[in-house]
Amino acid sequence: MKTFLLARKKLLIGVIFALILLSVWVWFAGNARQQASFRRTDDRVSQAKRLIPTIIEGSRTKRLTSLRVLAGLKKDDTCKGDWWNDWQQTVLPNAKTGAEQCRAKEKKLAKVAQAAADINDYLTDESKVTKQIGTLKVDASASDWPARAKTAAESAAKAINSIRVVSSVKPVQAAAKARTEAIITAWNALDTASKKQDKTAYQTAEAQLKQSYADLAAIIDVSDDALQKLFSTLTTATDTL
Amino acid sequence: MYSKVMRKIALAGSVGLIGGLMLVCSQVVSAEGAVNPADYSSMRETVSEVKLPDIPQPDWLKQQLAAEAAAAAAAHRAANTMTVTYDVMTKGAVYASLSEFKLLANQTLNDPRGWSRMNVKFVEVASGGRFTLVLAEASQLPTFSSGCSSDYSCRAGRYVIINQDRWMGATPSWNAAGGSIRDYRHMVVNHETGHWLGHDHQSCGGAGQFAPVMQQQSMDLQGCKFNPWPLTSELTSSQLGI
Repeated sequence: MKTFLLARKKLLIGVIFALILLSVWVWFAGNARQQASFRRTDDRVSQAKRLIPTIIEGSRTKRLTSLRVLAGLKKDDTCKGDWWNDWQQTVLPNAKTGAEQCRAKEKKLAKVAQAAADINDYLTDESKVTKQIGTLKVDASASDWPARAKTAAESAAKAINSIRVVSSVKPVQAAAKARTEAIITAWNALDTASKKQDKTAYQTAEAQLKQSYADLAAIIDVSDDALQKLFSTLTTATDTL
Repeated sequence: MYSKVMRKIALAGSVGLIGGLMLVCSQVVSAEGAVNPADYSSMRETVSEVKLPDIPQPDWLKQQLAAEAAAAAAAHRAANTMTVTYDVMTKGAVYASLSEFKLLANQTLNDPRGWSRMNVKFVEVASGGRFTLVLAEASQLPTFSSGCSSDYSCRAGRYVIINQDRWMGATPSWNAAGGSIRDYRHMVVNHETGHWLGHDHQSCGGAGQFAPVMQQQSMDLQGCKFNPWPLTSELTSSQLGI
């Protein structure tokens, strides 16, 4: 064995040297990959910062587009690097700091993206409720418009009740359902009073019906409140970015 | 030395500027009142388009309200009615029933078709009324005024004089047209009282129309139809300030 090894001394040195070179190359390549991931994270943070002002400027279409793009800046795990990067970080303070900073940025970015995604989800589901509220619009050109208005309210209430929405839209859905049902109740009271030819009951029901349509504005309050809360979360997340 | 100081100042300024920009960027969304939900959600727009038009009143309600309005108008009239007193006398040889004359005259004066539509109530008093209603023998008419004829009824000053002959027999033209004596009596009391209220004679408004009560219907209808009641256009009184 000793003779075998001594006879191939050069070969052995060469192999060992090659292994060392290979290791060094792999090490450098791994570090370079990790550094590249750090840079990608920085780029995405910069992209997010550029997008944030555009969320509150311009047309509705532009704002919503910016929100969607921001929501798409998903978390990137490559801050982690290869296994020896973790080992390195335990012995080399600079390596550890770089990875920690990268992970911290990714975490913040994820919060921003999630907040934007929550707003997108809210707007998507709220629009389904809004669409049903729109069907309550009365066309008084038809001679039987009161009957049609009542039917429209009944259909809208049923539809609103059956829509599946994210949790942030549930208060809006509940408000829309309650207000629509109030309209139906008022129409029914008017019909009953008319059948009885009870003037007092009719006039009371008529006033209540007018009020129930005006009370639809309460849905706006709930919607505004929900959106303000979601934007507040986004603001908090962007402030730390 | 100077350039070192300038470099430090420039560096401090750059750091400050960058820091300020970062602060602005992070506060763009959190600036007071920056987010208007209407810029993202169409809920406000949609809700504001939903309005309830005025509901057409059902017929039964229109009838009820009309009845109530009429009752309210009647109550209002009752609350704002002017009372006019009058006393009654006779002159000359009067054979007609005075009590019947008083009763029928009062009914005519307070008939809802008559002068009472001006919210006036006529009340007979024993004496001292605002005018005197006289049932007079025909020949006595000229004694009230040279303008009064024994052939017709007349008004002279405070005296509203009904010719007994006309009261009892109307006129040939009225009778020939098939008019009732009751309607004639309505007409003559309304016509002469109308003079006291301040009206002059009127002419027929057009062929086929109802004659004004102030037209001398006993003499010539002028193509109009007999009418014992004042037209709406005649419901005024300079005497009463109406």
